[in-house]
Formats: sequence, C-alpha cells, structure tokens
Amino acid sequence: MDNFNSITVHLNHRDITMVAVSLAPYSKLAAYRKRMGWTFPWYSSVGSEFNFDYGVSFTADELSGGKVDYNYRLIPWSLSEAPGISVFLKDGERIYHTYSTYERGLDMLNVAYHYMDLVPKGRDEGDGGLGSWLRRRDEYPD
Amino acid sequence: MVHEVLTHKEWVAARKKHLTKEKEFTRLRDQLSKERRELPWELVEKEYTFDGGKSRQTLSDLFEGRSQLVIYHAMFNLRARTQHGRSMRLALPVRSGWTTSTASRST
Repeated sequence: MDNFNSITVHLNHRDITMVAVSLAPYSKLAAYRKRMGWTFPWYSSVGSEFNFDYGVSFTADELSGGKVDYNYRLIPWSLSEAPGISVFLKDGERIYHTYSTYERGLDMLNVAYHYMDLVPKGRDEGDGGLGSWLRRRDEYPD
Repeated sequence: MVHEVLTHKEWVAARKKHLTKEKEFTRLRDQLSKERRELPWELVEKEYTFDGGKSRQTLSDLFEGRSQLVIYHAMFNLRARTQHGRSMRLALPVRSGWTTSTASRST
C-alpha cells in the first residue's frame, strides 16, 4: 500500500477513487494506517460479504475443504484471505464491477518491482516471492 | 560478477536491439489494456456496507463523488488453518512467502 498512498491525489484528479478494504475491524486498520503514515481511505468490510464475493476472503467451510476458488480456479489454500484488486464504475445509481485481478496480476501495481526489473540483480527473490524480503517500512533492520 | 562488457558503440547496438523488443511489448501492453477496458461489466446488485470510522457506508459512498473506484483488497489479521484443523492468527508480511506456499510464482 506504500505503492499507492502517495499517488491517490493524482488518481483523484483523473476521476478515480483509490481505497483499501480489509475484513479486519476498523479500529485495527486505523491504528496500522497511523503507524505507516498512510492517508488513503481504508475501510473494514466486517459483517459484509464483500471480500468473500470478490474472491479474497474464504469461509471456514471453504478452508476445511483444503481448496478455495481464487483467481478463477480452485487452488489448495490455507489462509483466510488472499490479495486482489477490484474495479467498479458508477453510472447514475448503478454500480458495475468491471475488473478484478489477483496473484501476479498484482505485479504491475507494485512500483518497486518496476524499478527492480531495471537493475542488474532484478527482483532477486528466488521462488520466495514478496514474502522472502518484504518488511513493513519501519521494520527493516538498517 | 561475470558479465559481458562492451565498448560504448557495441553497447548502444545491443541496447537498440533490445529496444525493438521493448517497443513490441509496449504496443502489446497497450493492446491488452484496450481489451481490458472493453471487457463486459456486471451489475452489483447486493448491498454492501463498510466501516470507515464514521457511520456505516455503502459501496456507492466509497466512490466519494467520482465515477471510478479501485479497491485494493488488503490482507490484514488473517488466519491460517493448521494441519490439525485449528486456526491461528498470522502477522503480515508472512515470512515464509505466502505467495508461493500454495500457488506457483508463474501465476
């Protein structure tokens, strides 16, 4: 979310509102947002089926089966959530869902990746993906 | 670090050769983005509510008066189902590489 925090103002002037939605209660999101210095709107979808319907939160039933429907096919998964981006359009009173993307579809939203792709060592994360190196911005040891 | 090192003239020639491929990719990306914008839409018929610290807000409220809304679904305070069927709370980022624990990096 460091990736879009500072560009939301530019998106806003192109008729785009950029927000984050999580299943966690708002008080937890607000505390974390303050710690990270983020200013974008961050909403809790607790009590709503939103994140389940858009394929990023999974029910206990789904998880107990060992497979979840993520990125438009069933995959083995053990976490209650997975990342994604969804796009909506408002036309008068109607709201349309126009797009969602998951997994490596999110690579293009990761600004750091685009710079890493320009340097000799590349992303240099082996098979580990983001989790092999990414830390909260205040948690890198140096 | 062992890597091919060239004179400036040769370096520019190699760079230009790669630039041709980059230009091809740029045009393909433009085409893909155009086709993405042309994808059909689906009507949102369910009422969703959100908590942004004020009163409960609807999906419509999240647009803040604009016509396009991009939502990043952020994993937060997620739980993992253990082998024993119990669930445990995880901190993010998950150190063991959650992107590859069950799914391939190629996807």
